[in-house]
Formats: sequence, structure tokens, C-alpha cells
Amino acid sequence: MTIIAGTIEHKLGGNVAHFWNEYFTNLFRFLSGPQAAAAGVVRIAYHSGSNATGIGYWDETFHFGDNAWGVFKFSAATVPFYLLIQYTDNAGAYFGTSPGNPALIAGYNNSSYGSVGWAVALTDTGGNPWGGTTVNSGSDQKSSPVWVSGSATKVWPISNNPGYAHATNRENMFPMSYFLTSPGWHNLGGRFSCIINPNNIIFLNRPGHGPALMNWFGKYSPTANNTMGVQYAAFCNLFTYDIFAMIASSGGPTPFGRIDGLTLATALGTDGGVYISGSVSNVYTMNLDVSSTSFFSPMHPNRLISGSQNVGSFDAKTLYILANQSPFFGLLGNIDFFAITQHVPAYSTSQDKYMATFEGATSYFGTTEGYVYQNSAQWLVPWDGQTVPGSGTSRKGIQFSRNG
Amino acid sequence: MTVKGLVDFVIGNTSGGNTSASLDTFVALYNFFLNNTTSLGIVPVANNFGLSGSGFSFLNGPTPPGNNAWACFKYANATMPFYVLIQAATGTNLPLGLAPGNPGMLWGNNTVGMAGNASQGGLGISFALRADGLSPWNGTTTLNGNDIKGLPVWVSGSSQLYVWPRSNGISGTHQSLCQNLIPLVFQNNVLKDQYRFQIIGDQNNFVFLQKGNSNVAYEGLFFGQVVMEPSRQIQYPTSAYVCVSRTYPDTQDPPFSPAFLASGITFTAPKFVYGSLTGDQLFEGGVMMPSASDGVKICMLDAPQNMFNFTGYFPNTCFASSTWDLISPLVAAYEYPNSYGTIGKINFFSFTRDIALNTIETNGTLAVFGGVTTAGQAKIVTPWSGTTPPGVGFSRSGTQF
Repeated sequence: MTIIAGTIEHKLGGNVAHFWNEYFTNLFRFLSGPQAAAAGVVRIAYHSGSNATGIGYWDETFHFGDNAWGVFKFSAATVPFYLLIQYTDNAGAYFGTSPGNPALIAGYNNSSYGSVGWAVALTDTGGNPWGGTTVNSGSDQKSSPVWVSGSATKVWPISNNPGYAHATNRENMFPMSYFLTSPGWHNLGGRFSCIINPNNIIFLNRPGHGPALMNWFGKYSPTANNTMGVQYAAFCNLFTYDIFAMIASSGGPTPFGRIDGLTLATALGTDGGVYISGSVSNVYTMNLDVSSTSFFSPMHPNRLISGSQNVGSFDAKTLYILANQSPFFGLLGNIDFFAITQHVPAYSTSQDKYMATFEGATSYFGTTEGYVYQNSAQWLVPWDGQTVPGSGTSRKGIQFSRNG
Repeated sequence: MTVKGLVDFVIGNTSGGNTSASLDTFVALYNFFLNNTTSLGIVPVANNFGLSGSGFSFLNGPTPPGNNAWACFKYANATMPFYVLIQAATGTNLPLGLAPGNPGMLWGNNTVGMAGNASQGGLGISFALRADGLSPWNGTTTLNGNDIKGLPVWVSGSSQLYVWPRSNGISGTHQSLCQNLIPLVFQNNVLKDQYRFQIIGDQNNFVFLQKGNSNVAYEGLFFGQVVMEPSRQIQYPTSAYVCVSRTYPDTQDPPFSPAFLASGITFTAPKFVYGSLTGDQLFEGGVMMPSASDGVKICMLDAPQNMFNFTGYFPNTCFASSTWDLISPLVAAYEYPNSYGTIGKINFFSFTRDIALNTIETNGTLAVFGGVTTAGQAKIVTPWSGTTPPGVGFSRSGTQF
């Protein structure tokens, strides 16, 4: 039995100037709190940021400042990994300035609109890759490189690994938003949920309170051929709500991994990567894959489940991890923490509310035999067992932990 | 499960004139079933030597069968016992289904093209089972070479009946007599060329593959078990079975293909579905539905789409040595208006791609079939036995394992 925990249904956007402070504060508090602790998460270091007075929202007595950051160890993971989060607000300080230096976000250090950045590191022996101090009282210092040097340390985004753009300082981070255009998420407002288990973390972001964008780091279930000691991967998707387009298009599978670290360099805004044992650069670009029936509308809901022709149920379609960067190509395993489904009402839950759906975008394929073939694929994620998805009304959201 | 095979048996000459080819292939298939009574639990149920026939030896033997010879066997050790009927006819203008093989029909008597002209004869197969596991066979069971088929061929008794091809079932063209058979070979094809065959099976699964010497790919049929996935709670009486087949035409695609091949990723509809209400389509077969009252429905196979639509993922180069990933086909019902949904997967054969035909795994337990082209084509991988790869030998008796 494993623990699933989360901080869900945060509704943000009341204050444009401090949107990312609120996002960061919610995430930081959850990862520092008892629910995440039940899943094995331990905070090991943090800094409250510039002009900060402590841990909290911008309008609280004790509040974070720009470039606040925190490091959290997922100690119960199969191979313990370390999550770094950091933020700046809209029109605030440049991302990566003191006390958050060194840091880049999507390869940039001038996030005009602000964002939360995240990065993950581990060693294949489960050792500590964090190079900074660990006083853990709000005044810790990063090191440079941010993560311990050497090939034993594997870092996501992949640009932080040997041979790639940010291998020296290992300071690059995934962005939580597409911050190169206006209006940005801070203008639109939105919701987010973060859900974890000992081996996985997902950030389910809904800019403008609309369809969801998924970001993930975690352990996948390996194929029989895959005996690597570290079976972890990540993907970051910032711009396309269309799950079908996120996975494949007529031009080919979407790559997740930027060796130049420029996550926002393409219209899709994707990044990520998968660890390859015995490799020079440790982490390599990957693709996702699904079975084709994931997108056949008549297949969903699956009318064969529950024994009734008229009442269906979620059919969870597995996401596969494919390595796709020379010289490594092929199937490594599948994600088992979440899945995709489709053609069910958005923001549905299973009967026990332990699973919930979050919609992507809908694209239209055509009509055959009276059925409209459309991709209305949705994310199928673990949930808390009580809350109606989309019903959150406060910035602090709802925290939970339960047996998985 | 025990895997047995009758492989690399070759019928006919490359120069053609193989007038007895369909019946000789029938004999080889009959021998596979008969020789595996002990090892696989395949039990004879009924048989008929055919018109002027005297036994089941090859046609230049002492007791050859005659036209429209047929035989019925029971897979008694299957998770859900099922029955198989084979029948053959050969010669000019001698359709399958005349006495003593009546009622019978090959490929719905489809007259499409020379290669598929079912009225010219061939070898056909059908399957049936009852939800209660009892015999659906409606004919006599004397086993003296003079048995008589029933009218209809298969019956439900007090239970529910599942029949393949699909057209023998509910709302199918041949529902009333259940007389249609899926073609394994067409006489018009085997008449003109030398054919190589592979039969491989275990207690629950049966694969029949055939390739003409001048053809670019194997064609064939699979009947076997669908393995449920625990995460998908679909309730079957005991187990589920599926049949997929393609006898014609000869293309580089494997005989049992993932649905999306050549339809790309537009997903307007799967390109390949197995089964038809008329029983005369290129792809025949069908899958058992969870509710016995629904019988068998048209089905499709599925696999990860990027791996098979785009090159580069095979062989897998992520590990110490390159390897070809084996992907278990997913099975889904796909019949209008309401029979849709993923059911489970096939474990007996796998999909792979970009590997040469007839390749075997180093320990000889797997073999590759499909088209002759290596790159850019999906293949199927079946159990095998021995260090000799497929495609070796030219005897009519083949190799047994």
C-alpha cells in the first residue's frame, strides 16, 4: 500500500502582481506539510527570498519574496530524488538573481511575467545530489553548480547534464508556465493541483480555469528488458491542451527534452527526458506513446466494463515512455501513476472519487457510421476521494493524503 | 502451456498445376490436430472422408480424402473448450459446401478476383463454443469417415453460442445454418504456386500461416485467448476468445495488423477490422462479447501508435545489446452500433517491426513472420522451437515440435 497525497483545487488570480507567490506558497506549504510527509517528502533546504519575512502569501505577515526557493527530498522513492522549486512574480526580480542564484528558467533569466520553476535531481545510489547548504531555516544558500558535479548526478531538465547547455552550473529549471507572451497566466488566473506518491509528482495546471496542462516527474514501470537501476522520467508541457497533439502529430511524435534548455523555443513548449543507464549524458529526450484506440471516440466510455451496453466506465489508456535521442531509441516502460481517457464529461470522478478527469482540448477527426470521431482526451489522475474537480474556491486549496 | 507446431510443410510446385493442394493442406492440418490429442487435448469429434474419399492420407497415399472432406475437433483442455471444423474442396468449379460437406460455404462464396474465387474451392475453417462448455456440434459423431453435419452446423442447446466467422452468428448472413468457413487457402492460389505453411498452437491458441513462393508476405489466421487486464474489469463467463484472419491479398503488412497501420494517425476509423456480417471480407474473425447473448462481434487489434507508425524505435538500443521489443496486441470490439471497447490482450503472438522475416530468437523459442521487407514494416512474432529458422525444408510432412 502506498500513500497518495496532494494539494488540489487552488483557485488563483485575485492579484496579478502576486500570482506566482501564491502558487509557490501553496506548493511549498504542501511539500513541507504532514500530507506530503506521509508520502515520504522531507524538506532539506530553503530560502524565503528577497525582501521576505518568512513562509507565506504576499499579503501575510510572514511572506515569501522573489526568488524564494525550496528543496524537498522524496525519501521513500525507489531511488530518492530531490525537487527544487523557485519563483518570481510578475514584474518582479529577474528569475535567478540573489538569493535564488544561480538559476535559469527555460534557459532564461529574465522572466518578465514571473513563473514557478522546478527541477529534479538524483544519484543512482540514492545519495544526496544537493550542493547547497541545508540549515533549512530560510537562509540557505545554493551552490554552483546547483547540483553536485559529476556523472553520478542526474538532473532534469536534461540541459543540466554532461554535454548539454547547462552542464556547468546545472542551474536550469522547467517553467510552470509559458511566460513569453501576454497575457500570461498571472493575468488569466487559473487553478492548479499537485498530486504525489513516493515516486511521482504531477502538476496539473489550468491557466484561465480552462483545460489542463500536465507536468510530471516520476518512476515508470519498466518493460521486461529494462533492468536499469534508475527508471525515472519527466515531461513538461506548457502550451498545447490537445493531448493527442502532445503525444503525436502527422509530423511525428512530440519530443520531450531540450538539450539547449530552451523549453519555450517551440510552439508546444515541451521539455523532459528519461534516464538511460550507462550513458554519457544521463538523461535523454523521449516521446510518449499510447494505443490508437485511446483516440477512437466510440471506444469511450468502454461499454463492456460493468456488463452493460449503455453504461460505461473510464477506460484508462496507458502512456508509454520511448527513448528518442541518438544513440538511444526504443520502449522503456509505461507510466502507472496516471493515464488518459476520453469522451467522458470533463471533471468527472470515479464513484469513489479516487480518480478524476481533467480535460484537454478537443480536435475533430471526422464522422463514420454516425459517430463523431473527435479527440477529447482527458487526463485521468489520482484524486482525494471527496472533492468535485473544478469546485475549488480558495487560493489555499485542499490538502489530502490517503492510502493508494 | 505446451506449444506444438507443424512447420515448414510445403505443398505443390513452383511451376503450378497443384490440383490437389487444398486437400493436401487439409490433410496436413488434420494431422496436426490428430497428432496433438495427448499434448494439447485436441480430441476428434466427427469426420467425413469426402466425395469418393477413403481416409486422410495425402492424395498420392493409400487412403486419400475426396472433395468436401471435413473434420471436427474439440480443444478439450482449453480454458473454455472450443470446437474447430475444417473442410476442403479442390478442382475446377468445385465449390466447398457440396455433399458430403453440406451445409458448407467458403468465404461466403465470394467470387472476387481470381485469387479469391471461393467457388473454385480451397480450405476453410470455423470455430464454435458454448457458454456452458458443452458441445455446439450438431452433427453425428461416429468418427467413421461418414459423419453427417447438422442443420445448422453449430447449435446453442440450452446455452449461448459463440461462432466464428462472425457471419455465422447473430444478425450474420449465415446465422440460420452456421455454414460459412473462413478461408485458409484458396484453390486458385495454391494451384499456381508452391506454398509453405506454419501451424503453431497450444491448448488455447492456434496460428495458421501460409506463403506462396512468389508472394511477398505470409497470410493467415489466429484463433485464441484474450487475456484480461486486472485494471479493466470486464466479466466473461470463463474466458474470451478472438479470431483474426487475412488470407488475401498479399501485402507487406502482417496478416494480423494493428488497426492504425496505413490509416496513419487521423483516427477516422481503424483500417483493419476483423469480421463481417456477410463473411466475405478480406479480414474475417471476431471477438467474444462478455454477454453471451451478444455472441461474437467484429473486432480490431491495437498497439502503441508512435512505435509502429514512425521509424526508429526498433530495435531497442537503450540496453547493453539491441533487442526487438515484443508488443502484445490489444483486442477491442468494434461493431456498430454499440459493441465497442477494449477487452484485453493476446499473449500468444506479438507485434514487432523492422526485423527480417524468418528471424528466430537466439534460443529458438520465437520466430518472425509477415512481409519479406525488413524496414518499415510491422511483423508478428510467434512461439517457435529449434535452432532452424522458418523457411527451411521442402517436405510435405514438415517438421513437428
